[in-house]
Amino acid sequence: MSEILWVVLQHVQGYIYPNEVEVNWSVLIALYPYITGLVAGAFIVASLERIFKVEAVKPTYRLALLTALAFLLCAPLPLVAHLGHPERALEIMMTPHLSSAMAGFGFVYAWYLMAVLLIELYFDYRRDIVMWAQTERGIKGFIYRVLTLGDYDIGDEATKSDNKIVNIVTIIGLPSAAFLHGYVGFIFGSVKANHWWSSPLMPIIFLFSAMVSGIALVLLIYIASGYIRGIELDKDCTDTLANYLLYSYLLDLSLEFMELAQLFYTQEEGIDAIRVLIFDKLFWTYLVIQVFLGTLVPIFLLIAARTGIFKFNVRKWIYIFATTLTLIGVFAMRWNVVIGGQLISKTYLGYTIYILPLFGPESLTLNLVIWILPFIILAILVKLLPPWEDTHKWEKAELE
Amino acid sequence: MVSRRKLLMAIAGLAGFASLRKAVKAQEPTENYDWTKHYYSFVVDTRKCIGCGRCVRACKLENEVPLEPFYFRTWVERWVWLKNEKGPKVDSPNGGFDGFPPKYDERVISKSYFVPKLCNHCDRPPCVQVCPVGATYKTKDGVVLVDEKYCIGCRYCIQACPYGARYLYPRDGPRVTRRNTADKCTWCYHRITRGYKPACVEVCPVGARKFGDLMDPDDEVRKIIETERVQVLKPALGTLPKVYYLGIDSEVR
Amino acid sequence: MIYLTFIVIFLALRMIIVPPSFGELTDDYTYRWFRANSVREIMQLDMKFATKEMCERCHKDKVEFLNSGAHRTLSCETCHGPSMKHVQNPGDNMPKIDTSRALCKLCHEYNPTRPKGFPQKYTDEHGYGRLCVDCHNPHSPWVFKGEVTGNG
Repeated sequence: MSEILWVVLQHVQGYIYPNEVEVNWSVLIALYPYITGLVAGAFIVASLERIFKVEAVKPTYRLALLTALAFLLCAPLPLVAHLGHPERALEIMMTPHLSSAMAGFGFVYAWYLMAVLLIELYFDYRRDIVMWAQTERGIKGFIYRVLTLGDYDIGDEATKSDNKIVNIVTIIGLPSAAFLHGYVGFIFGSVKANHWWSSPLMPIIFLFSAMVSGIALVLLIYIASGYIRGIELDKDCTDTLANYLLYSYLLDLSLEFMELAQLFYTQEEGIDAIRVLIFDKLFWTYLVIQVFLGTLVPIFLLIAARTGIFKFNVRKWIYIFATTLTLIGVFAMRWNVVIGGQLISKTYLGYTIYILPLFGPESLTLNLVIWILPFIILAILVKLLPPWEDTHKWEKAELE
Repeated sequence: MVSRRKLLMAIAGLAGFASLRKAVKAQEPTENYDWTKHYYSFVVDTRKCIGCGRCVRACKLENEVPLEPFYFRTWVERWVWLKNEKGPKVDSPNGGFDGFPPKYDERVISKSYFVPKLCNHCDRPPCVQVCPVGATYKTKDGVVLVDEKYCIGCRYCIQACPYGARYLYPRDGPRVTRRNTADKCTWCYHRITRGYKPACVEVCPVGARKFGDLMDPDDEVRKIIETERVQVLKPALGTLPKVYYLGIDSEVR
Repeated sequence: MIYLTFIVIFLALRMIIVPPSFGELTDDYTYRWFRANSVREIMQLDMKFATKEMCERCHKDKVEFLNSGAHRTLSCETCHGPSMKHVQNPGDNMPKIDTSRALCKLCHEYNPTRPKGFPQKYTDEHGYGRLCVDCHNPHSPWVFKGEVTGNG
């Protein structure tokens, strides 16, 4: 670690406090809000169908829930990997110091996982699980039989109460998802010592860019699944999702603009340092990747797709392109907030740099591993609990 | 059947409640030191500091701080204003550990002085507020400490400190039990509770650093705070620091 | 259901895992939520530096001499380094006696940032080639040893 710091020390500009040479929250801490953002966003896609009765996106309902679960399971990984003493990680739940936003993590996470996501998935799939438990053999059959929890009643009344439970849980789940991701924004927004972070808008901005990334992810996975399964996509579903992506993008853009406008209007003490940060230190990651490639280009593409002058095949490619850019852009946003905020010194007179090691702890490799893991989990979940409406057709296709 | 379940739930609830609430038993941590009888404060007189760096060295030796230039419990900054230029030029080579090599010709210097920095042991410490597990705390005598056996190393306190006083003790540091935990100036708590002064105050050759107890009527620091015009760093953030500075400009951060 | 057993297990686990002294001295949840034994442990850390009073106990004459001269504001350990081990075991662990020019330069080399009136010299032009302590008594620097010519 020190070897990197010596290199960083040579690139320090201006005057920073001697303890600020080391950038404390590394890329792992930029990855964590990204993952929980995807969870929150995917859950919002699911609630679109359940609560807001947007029938068009029904094909992606279960897919969104499974995506949310896959990413939620991996959410604590970057945090635990980053801790100086991961073996003491349970302390956060044993003696939480609730004056700290971070102390809520254990409980919010446990609540969201156990009281919202697992319950919703379980009751939504229960009918299918019971049916599969009775028809499948082998290990898969065993798993299904365990999952039924001994309750094989799939009569009309049972199914109706299942549905009601799922509705209630989704309604509870929306604010829970918002809280799961909003508190991360609050962790940054409440740090009065850091001028780049300190803002009451931070939780909301995080939440809206989470929505953007979640919808983009579900859309991308849905399109990809169409390719993988060799099945026609539901045009209505894809277009509606893309529409909602556009709406949340516009909201997100206006919020980020509001925050920047506030910063540059009030011109508080650190404004000169922030100006240098935006236009010099974060030029590529902020102006080019996050704003231009990650926000303006996808918005333009989505608006173009909406005009209807393109056939569905072309639109599909526009969506693929736009969502990939979105996912990169939202990660860049997390990077710019987390690491950008640590590049400016609290003296407002200097800047440090961040060097991302390739291997080892807090490195690029570890990040990629943690990033890819949810997709692997999602693949397993999709195999185990197929989210497609035409399950029987799918099974037939597999047998052939 | 139902009543048994209810009983179980009641017991679980009570057990949970009992484990969360512990009676506040003693008021002092140990028998021979009563922390309710002291309230410490610190004064830094920048009109006297000569930038020799003995304090930085003494602190590192006293508290097993790694000697690399990235970890400081206390450090000294040199603030220089040049003629015909706006804005100060600040530097802190290795925190001032080896003194300050001359950098500017005195003919172009308008004014300059040294500013020793350390943890301000704020009365409303933002670092304590954000610790998620309760590893850092403010003692009754006003000193902010870190529990090295409990800290999980999340680094939130390091981000929250407006003065850059905290750092993460490196994984290869000399004191094994402190590795990968947050660390900072403790006003040499192990010294002051025995009646001595912090190491940096002890070795300062000119008396630029002063440490005292506000509950002691004859205390030098108390007299300075009560009679002279003192300043604190970044007062607008509302942290209520307890390190008072004499002789700095408002521009000093 | 299953969840209730989770909660009960969690609370039981908590009673085992949380260190016993946690919260013992907590009268302010926001600023004093901690493990009480930590304060006791910190109070018992070893001192590496002693104090001038401790040096005075055995080296009374030296300290009196020091207090009579211009270096009265210094502590012995300012130059001699951490000496607690020596106080505890006077025979061993003799503190360093650094007579090099570098040590005196730390404070007395001319530097425009130092306060006016503080004794400073351009040491390249002052006593070059000799040790500072050849002429100046380090414990009372205006007391000169042997002959001192006007050119320093």
